[in-house]
Amino acid sequence: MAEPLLQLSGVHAAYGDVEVLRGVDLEVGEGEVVVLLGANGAGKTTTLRAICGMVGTRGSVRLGGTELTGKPTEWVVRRGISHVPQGRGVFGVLSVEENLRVGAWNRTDAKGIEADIERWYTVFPRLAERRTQLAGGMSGGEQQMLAVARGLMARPRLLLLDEPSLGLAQIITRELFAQLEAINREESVAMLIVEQNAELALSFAHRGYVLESGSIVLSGSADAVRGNEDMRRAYLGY
Amino acid sequence: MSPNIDNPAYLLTLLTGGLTNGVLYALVALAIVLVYKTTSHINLAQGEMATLGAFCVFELTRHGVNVWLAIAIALVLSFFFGAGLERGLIRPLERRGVFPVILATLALFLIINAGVAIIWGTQPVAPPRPFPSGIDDKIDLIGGAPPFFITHVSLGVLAVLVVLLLGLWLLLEKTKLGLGYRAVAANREAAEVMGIPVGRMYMFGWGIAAALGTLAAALVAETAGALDFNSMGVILIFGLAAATLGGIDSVPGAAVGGLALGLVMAVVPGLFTVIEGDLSLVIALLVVLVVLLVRPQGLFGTKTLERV
Amino acid sequence: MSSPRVVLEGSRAHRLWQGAGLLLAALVVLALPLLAGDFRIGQFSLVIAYAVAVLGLNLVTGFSGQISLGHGAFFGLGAYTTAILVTDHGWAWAATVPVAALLGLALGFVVGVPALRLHGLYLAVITLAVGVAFPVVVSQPVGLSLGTGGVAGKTVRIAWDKPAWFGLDVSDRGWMFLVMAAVAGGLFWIATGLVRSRVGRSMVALRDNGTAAAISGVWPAEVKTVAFAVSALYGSVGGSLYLLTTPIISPTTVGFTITLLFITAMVLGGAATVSGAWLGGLAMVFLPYYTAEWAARIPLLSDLTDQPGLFANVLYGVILIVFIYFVPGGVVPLLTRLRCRFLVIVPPEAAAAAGLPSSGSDTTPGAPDGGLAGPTPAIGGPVSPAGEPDPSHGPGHPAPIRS
Repeated sequence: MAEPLLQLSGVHAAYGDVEVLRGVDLEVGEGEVVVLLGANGAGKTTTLRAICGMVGTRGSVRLGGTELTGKPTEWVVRRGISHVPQGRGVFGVLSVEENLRVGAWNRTDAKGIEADIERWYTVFPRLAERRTQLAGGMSGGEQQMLAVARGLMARPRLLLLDEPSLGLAQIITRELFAQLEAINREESVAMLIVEQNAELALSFAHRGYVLESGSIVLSGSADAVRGNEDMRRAYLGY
Repeated sequence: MSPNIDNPAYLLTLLTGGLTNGVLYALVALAIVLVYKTTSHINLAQGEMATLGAFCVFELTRHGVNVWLAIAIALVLSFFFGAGLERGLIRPLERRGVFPVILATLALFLIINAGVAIIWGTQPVAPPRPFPSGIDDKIDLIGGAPPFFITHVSLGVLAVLVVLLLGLWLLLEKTKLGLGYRAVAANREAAEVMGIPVGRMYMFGWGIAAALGTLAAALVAETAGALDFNSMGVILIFGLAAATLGGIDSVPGAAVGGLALGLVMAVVPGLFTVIEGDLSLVIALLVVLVVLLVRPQGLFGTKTLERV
Repeated sequence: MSSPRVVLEGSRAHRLWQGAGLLLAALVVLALPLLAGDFRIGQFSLVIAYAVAVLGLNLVTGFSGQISLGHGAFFGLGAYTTAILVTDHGWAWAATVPVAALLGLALGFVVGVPALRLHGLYLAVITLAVGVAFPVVVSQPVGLSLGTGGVAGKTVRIAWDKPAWFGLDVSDRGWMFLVMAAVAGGLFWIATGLVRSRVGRSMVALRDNGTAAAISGVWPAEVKTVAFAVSALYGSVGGSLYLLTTPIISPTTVGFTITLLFITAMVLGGAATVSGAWLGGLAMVFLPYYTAEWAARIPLLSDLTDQPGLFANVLYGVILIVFIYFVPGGVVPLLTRLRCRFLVIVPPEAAAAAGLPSSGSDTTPGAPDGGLAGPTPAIGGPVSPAGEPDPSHGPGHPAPIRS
């Protein structure tokens, strides 16, 4: 069997003395959308940070067979991972277009970059309207779209999304997820999404994992996760 | 009787002198800002590094190198020296907070200050002068007593600032390197996950700052007509004051702050005849205090000096 | 290998140890003027003056974690105050010290007031400006009109005869040394009490965690300002003491360099220790002295410059870097660790927690069925029991300097 695109096995991570991840095993296949659920403090964000080498880790993180553990973030990013951080992390004092160009930092194909910028402007027309404005002056929803578009500018094999719906109105969240679904379908970009809005995320993900106190306690197809009794009580509320 | 400040020619002379000094403060302020923007550190050895650079220019010209070529070589050397210091001395302390970094820059201050004095002596040397600085190298604008004229040195120094600001603007706004630098300055962690080599941007900031400092010190030597191992001690304070005034993370702020400080320090003593002697440091100190208490982010800045 | 003795803080055994230490220190101080010549005595007098000033820096930077880059100005304020009052107004030296102390306190307070609103690098910038401005101001007409002597400096003649009632056979300089030692002893005693007091503990709390300290009822602004004022007082008195060793004070003496040397001395001894200031003072006097001697012997170096003091400054810079990197806590915590091989002092709370009898006489470690978590330091093992601060060297943790 071919190796999955992303494979975490036995990943431990700690901030100083506080161990946050206690042996996480997780896989994301090529072109697959996987959602990572869990309560606050369960270690979801840390999992994403561990993949990007932004926190001290033990265990193994492999991307397409290449070991990522212990490598600097910039190296990991060059291997084809884009991280859309929690709270969007757009560059507030840079214009929208400059933000997109920063996203394409590791690319050298100038023509391709221009084409991609135009492409994401088509997908997110509101970004096109504000291309010369400073990103910091935009609404939360627009900033989130910018963050996603910026992440895609790197032409990643895997997109990590950390709570993309945080602070967004329901309608904007739906719009964003519709766009993500389309992007996944058309570009076959794999996605690992950390999300509080479990219902919405599971409706478009292929598979799901549930993280509790730093370990995976449940995994399976989106439907199976949604169908799980404990899961429903804990996260879906019905 | 000495001419009064309401004499237009005298006032204009004061103002041009203030602007010329202001350029020097602006250059040092720019150096401080370029380091601070990405790293949130203040390099207290900035002035001493600049003195070292100016002595390099002096040494090169002594061996017959053309003064402009000597400055160019010194700028390049300073860039690599600054970038190397960031990587080798400062970066390993980065995670331990701001205090060890401040201490490290103070250690650099001691070593470079004393090192320069050991190598080139403690007596002032006659620096190389890139601009014509004879008694007749001036443009007369108002005749009579007192006359008003602009020296070629003043013009040259102002021209350097204009060219430099233009170059810096092109570098930061129009190049990929500049984009990466500004991204790191705006949001260090997000820049990291975009794959920008953050460390190299720190080095870039330190390098450019060191080069700017060297240019400033070369011009200080030019305007003062003398260079010694303590030349930049006081200028560093003025640069810090200018950076605080303009906003510690603002490039245009540093330029405006430097020029404004130069003007204030030229005019204020003229307004109060009771002030005797050179109390410009006290004025600079007061400017800093007023800015910090009234508008801590400075005129154009966004961040305030919150670390520690 | 014998295990170290463990004594409870505040117990009779502890007080006996402390008493023995103080007695030993007093004997060394008394012996010096009896055994050494006037030159050596002069050097150690200078150590005292510097140590007092460095202690002031410890109080503001080491204990309350604020950067002060203007300590040379406080030192200079005290020195100039004493010089002007003695030379121009015929005051006795002793009478000038309280004036210098009060002026230092006042200037420290003024500089510390911005600390009410500002923190961090701002404070560094302001104190730096004060430190650089001070020598310039004293050399300007403003300073001249106050009697600073301008660029040339101010000469002072302070000469004391040993009083007849003093029985020991010491020289006049030796007598001055003893007086200085007594003054410094008092100041160190006060500082020790201060850092153990409520204010002192809040300073440490503030340094370690500003927010937590604010929540628990420590008022950061007040504490910071007090720390600045007291620090300046010590710096100023250090300047007054300095004039007993050197008959001139000039702008170059109180320039930014001496501030840098104070900072290096503080880091070298241990920023958050009281006793580290002594080591700092020793370094400030003997490092340049021996560096100059060595440099004079090495032909290559001696040809380079006629000012061997410059080599010492380079060396200070190198030492500072080495300490930041490898010995961030300074020398004193290292000495404490060494002492812990033989003698461990346990605060009562830690002992109670570990199940030690609180009556507090000598105990051997591990006696209560080895259930003692802390106080059995193996060689190279834990520094002090339960990681508690060791009170005999000031209350600060032997922790690296941090922001």
